[in-house]
Amino acid sequence: MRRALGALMAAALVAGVALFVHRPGPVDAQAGGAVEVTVTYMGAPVVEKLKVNKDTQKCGTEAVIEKVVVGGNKGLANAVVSVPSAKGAPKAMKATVDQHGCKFVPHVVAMTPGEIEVKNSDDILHNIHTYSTVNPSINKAQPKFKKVMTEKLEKPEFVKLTCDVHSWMLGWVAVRGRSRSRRARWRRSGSR
Amino acid sequence: MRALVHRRGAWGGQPCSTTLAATRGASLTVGHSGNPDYTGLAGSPSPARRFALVALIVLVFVGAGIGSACAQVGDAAAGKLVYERKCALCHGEKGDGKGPAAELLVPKPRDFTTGVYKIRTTANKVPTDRDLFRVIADGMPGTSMPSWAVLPEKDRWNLVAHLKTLAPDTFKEAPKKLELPKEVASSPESIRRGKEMYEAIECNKCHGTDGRADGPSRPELKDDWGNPIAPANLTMPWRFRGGSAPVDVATRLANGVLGTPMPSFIDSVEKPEDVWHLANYILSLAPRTLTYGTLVSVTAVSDAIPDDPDAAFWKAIAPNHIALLGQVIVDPRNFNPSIDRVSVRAVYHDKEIAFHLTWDDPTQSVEDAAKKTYADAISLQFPPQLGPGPERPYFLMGDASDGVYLLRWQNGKGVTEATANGPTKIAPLAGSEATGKAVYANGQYRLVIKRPLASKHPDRLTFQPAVFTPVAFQAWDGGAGETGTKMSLTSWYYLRLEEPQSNRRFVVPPVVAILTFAALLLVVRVANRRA
Repeated sequence: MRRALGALMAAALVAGVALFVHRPGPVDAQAGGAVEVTVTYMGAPVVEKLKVNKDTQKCGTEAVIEKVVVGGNKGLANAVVSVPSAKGAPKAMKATVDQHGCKFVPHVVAMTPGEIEVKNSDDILHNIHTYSTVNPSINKAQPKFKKVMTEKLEKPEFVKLTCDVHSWMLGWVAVRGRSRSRRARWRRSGSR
Repeated sequence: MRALVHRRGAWGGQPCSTTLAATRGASLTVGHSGNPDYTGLAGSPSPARRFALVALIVLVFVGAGIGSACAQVGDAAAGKLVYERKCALCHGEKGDGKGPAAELLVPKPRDFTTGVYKIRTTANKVPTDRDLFRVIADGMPGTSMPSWAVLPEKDRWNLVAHLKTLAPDTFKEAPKKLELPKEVASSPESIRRGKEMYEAIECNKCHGTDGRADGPSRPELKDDWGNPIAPANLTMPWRFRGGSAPVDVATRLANGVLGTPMPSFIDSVEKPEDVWHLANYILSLAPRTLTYGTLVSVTAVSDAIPDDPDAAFWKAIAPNHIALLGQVIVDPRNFNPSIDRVSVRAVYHDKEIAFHLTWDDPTQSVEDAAKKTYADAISLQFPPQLGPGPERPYFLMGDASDGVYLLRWQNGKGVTEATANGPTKIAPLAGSEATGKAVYANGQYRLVIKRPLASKHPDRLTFQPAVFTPVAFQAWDGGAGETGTKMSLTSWYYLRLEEPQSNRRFVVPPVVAILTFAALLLVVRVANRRA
């Protein structure tokens, strides 16, 4: 599936002219323009469900693990598109991810190397546990009173986010910068 | 001079890196004491030789003094040889944690090639040499990693050097010292604050409300390699992987345990010194004294014995702590037993005997084929009759010729009686005379089993006061997949029904004293009259 996704995304790239796009946005004249990309996915959505045994007031009684989210017209949600051949410095993008309703919101977030803001809107204990290879891994508690934490992801890679307190919570951070091989860029798709 | 060198060895003092070369040089000098140049040393030493002697003594003492406090640089090649002999069986020849014994172990042996170390005193991923040395020297309590203090200190430092070569990328970076806030000594206020923080940061999610590792997230926890991992039972600090001194606990809280779900809390407590309050609170959860016994004293009581395990009656009776081990004689064996202790309170009166058992079990479970769990259970084992001699049935539930009598409790089934002729040959006894009640709360079972003191049945033991009665214990944590021969157990211990203490001991001595005094007065009076 990973290969299929990679192929789909590569196809989407052909249309790419801008430096870096997370989602369709308005044209930015200063940065030389933006690109709108539609990534379609021919397979079926992959969504797992799990019964929740704690914090049901915040998490609900059923957790939905969104592995592949596909819209009505086969549009693939949570896709990250980048343009490896683009010239010039990418526009800095700071990321924010919120632990809200026992989910990482957004499920996939893109950023340039730098800081990421991690919020906890749930008023319960979460932790932020990253799985990465080139960035130092992070495993920090985020109790209910710790509303915002700022962490650093300074090297380009796809970083998996989990919360060990709520094992179903899964998120991704696409840290994208320059001078990475194309293979490395598509090693993981935006939403696995 | 040789004696001096030996003493240095006996102190365990190895020079730290700064004095290493000098002391080595001095040792070499001693090694040459057979050289003709040095034969005259004891006679009339030249000033240069005298200086050498003084310098040697100073260096030896300084080296010994500093040695125990500072790290030294090991020899990785020499460490590799030690590693292959002592470590590879579990950790694998390549250090990838895939040794032949690895599959039997829980938790799994460390894969050194990842460079991920649980126990660090550093703020980054890299442990210090001393962190690695300490784990080698002290082992990791609660795991299969033993203390390697039997190895010469030099070998342990060499091992540290070898381990670092297995994950060169990790050790490229220098260890960054973790700055802990100033230590706060334990006090009732500090413990109170620690409890507040324990609740505020929700340690209970994994470690449970009372710290018995029964939190709701327990079944979901996985380490970084996807293996299930259990949270620490905080009431058992002797099993803490990185030690149980307040500074060890505060350090684990502050920088987390790498490769596990335990996160870093130094930036996630209200005030930095809260890590000390938390450490003090956590250490207050352990029993203050825990002496394991081999004799269970059964106290005589005159009142009715309550059925409720939580009745105040039971709290007034001193517990006998009994240590349990995994059953590793009969297949399937239990190398990683879940239950390692049961606390026993026992009382009797002229009609009944009652046992109050307390043990930790992180999951309350019944038989469920889908979840691969079994009923939690515990049993007390006795010989069916008390013989005149010291002979007892085989401790592992008897054998074909000599059976045992079991008082058992199983979750969902309650208390039953049985006889056994081996762990797989258990036969329930009809018309059970035993009753019982169990409660489960916050990772702990408390159970009362009652039975008439005497029995006419040949397979049911009659308890007799003041007789050493053999007793053994077996326990099963069904949630951890324990059933049948997969159990924790003890060998034969004894229980003794203490004879009721008569009130005469409060009456007779004072009466004797008064009578003696009266006799004394009488003697004095008679003597006075005669005079």
